[in-house]
Amino acid sequence: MKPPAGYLLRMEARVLEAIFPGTTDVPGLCRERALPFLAMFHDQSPRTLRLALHASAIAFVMATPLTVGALRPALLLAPEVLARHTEACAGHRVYLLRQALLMLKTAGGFCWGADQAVRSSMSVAGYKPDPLKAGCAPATSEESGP
Amino acid sequence: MIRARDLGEHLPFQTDGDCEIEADYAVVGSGAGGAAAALTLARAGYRVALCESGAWREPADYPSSFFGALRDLCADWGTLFSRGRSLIPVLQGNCVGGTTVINSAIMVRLPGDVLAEWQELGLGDVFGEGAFDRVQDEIEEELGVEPMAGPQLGTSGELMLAALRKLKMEGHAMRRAAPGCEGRGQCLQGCSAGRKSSLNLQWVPETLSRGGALLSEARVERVRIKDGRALGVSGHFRRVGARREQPRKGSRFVIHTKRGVLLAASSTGTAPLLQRSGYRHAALGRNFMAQPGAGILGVYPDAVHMERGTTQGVASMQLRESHGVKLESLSIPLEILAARVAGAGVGHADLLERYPHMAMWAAAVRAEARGTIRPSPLGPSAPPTLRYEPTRGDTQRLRAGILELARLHFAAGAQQVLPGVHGLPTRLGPDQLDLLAAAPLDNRCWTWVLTHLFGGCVMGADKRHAVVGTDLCVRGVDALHVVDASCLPTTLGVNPQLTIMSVARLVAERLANETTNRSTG
Repeated sequence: MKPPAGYLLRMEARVLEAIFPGTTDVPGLCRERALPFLAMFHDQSPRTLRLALHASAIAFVMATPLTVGALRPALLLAPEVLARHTEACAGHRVYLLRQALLMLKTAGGFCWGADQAVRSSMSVAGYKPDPLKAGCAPATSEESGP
Repeated sequence: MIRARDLGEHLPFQTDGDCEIEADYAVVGSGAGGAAAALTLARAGYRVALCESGAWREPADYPSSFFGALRDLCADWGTLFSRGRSLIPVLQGNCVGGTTVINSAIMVRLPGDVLAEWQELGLGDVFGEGAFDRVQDEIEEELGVEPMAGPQLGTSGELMLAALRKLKMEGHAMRRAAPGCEGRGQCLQGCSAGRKSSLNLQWVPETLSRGGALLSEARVERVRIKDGRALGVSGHFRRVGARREQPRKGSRFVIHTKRGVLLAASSTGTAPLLQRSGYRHAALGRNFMAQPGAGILGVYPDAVHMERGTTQGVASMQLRESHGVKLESLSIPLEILAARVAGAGVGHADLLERYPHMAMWAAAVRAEARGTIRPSPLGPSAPPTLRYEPTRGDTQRLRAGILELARLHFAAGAQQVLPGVHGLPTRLGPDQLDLLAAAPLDNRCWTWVLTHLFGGCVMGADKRHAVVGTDLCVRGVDALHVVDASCLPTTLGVNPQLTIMSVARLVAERLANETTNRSTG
């Protein structure tokens, strides 16, 4: 599978930005933060997960007739209408639309929840960088025996 | 071609040619069942080759973030879902040590009523009460099982314990295989403090020191069966956590066994492996069972910081007999909370910033539902196809459990609860519990998670319904055994880790004794 085109990543970043707007005390998920995360996500994750994220983002963008009765894609809506659309997706009666939003919240949550600025704003301890390694060798039996 | 005749070594991902190993036993899977069986056989003097589809991770290599945990420690990035009317995610470990690396190390002894059920199914000779008690005692001692106490519980656990006492309900601090737990709240990401007795730190190294071999990132694709006897296993090394440009598929490996093959690839792995190997039985892949659950968040006036303290520290069995429900404290990281809290956008953000004031408690159901598990049509490296849907009765029991947890939250001083049920308000106050009591029973309205998986090739005396016979062999195939939760004939209603370890050890002991008796006789 080829890397996603830039416009697809940018669209997903803008969708996540709409879902995680932040408050006065806690930062949201801005697209500048989301873009590198999404690039890493698409680089490392399995195909099913990548496809699920693409499909969920597209469903979010195209579901405006079902939520706010608009015929324009979500990212072309006025900010206040986009906010209404976002909330409506989360509580919509169509199960698959709710699941699409859950997928987006999960992927966005990985980025937002691990953000040092977000965590420190809530007095939650920050994360150390994750060591990404291929499987490594065990300690010798002398070192690691019971 | 690599010929690894000298065991006692670890073979991680290989690309330099085929690999052949000779051993007395091959064990597929290094989690609770596989590692327990492998060590028992190794202690009895047998040469064991242990195959694990995940990678070896030391505590220093454990990720901090939940994203890293899904990538480095979990099966298929947690992308396995049960397919029914609702989609329910399944979380399982995929690394040396299996799910013992990413669970809360809870150790609960097999309830007497479950053992009695098994004995009624004709398994009395296999699992005698005395034998089970002895093995459970041994395992508890080896893994340093102890009850959680004091700051290990965290504020969330202490609040739940106090609420249970206030409402005069049974409740206790959990017994866990985590001696000296520091309460970092990182059980789901592996314990980077190395306090958890996960089996990559305990039994797998001992198996290696006793001459066993470990193949990691080695996915077994077939059990080699000829003339009604298991002769070994074969598969390919497959890189875990590879970037897209890196090769994922490595060398082929074959393990030739003299005495037998033990399958412990989990309830989502063992039955599909047998199916891919050409084995046929009417009950294979059926009778898939689980203890699905959901949680409810309480929002407190004072800071709780559920991420401090052990991930799971307190449980109540008050509803186990009446409703088949267990209640537990369950801390979730901020990343998961973002998905779990209902809504999106501004209202969602307002709730998320209350994270330090939230406590999550969960209910898990001893479900009556039965599902099926099949290999993926996309090949052995793709997640299997799981069809499972909780019954209406299961959802009713879950609702009863969640309602009880809401009462407990309010007894502990919560101002609001967040049920996360579609069709209900996002937040409920103490005078709105009637809404929760009448919550919809459509599974698609609930945020289920599928944990504690059982069945797929259950054990029993009935030839038509049990894939594994009371002689511990897969029916019709000599020297092929199942030693994980897929052989358990019923759900338990408690955490199954200690039971899986005990069953695997009892089966392996019996194999070792039978072989010894045969050779001395």
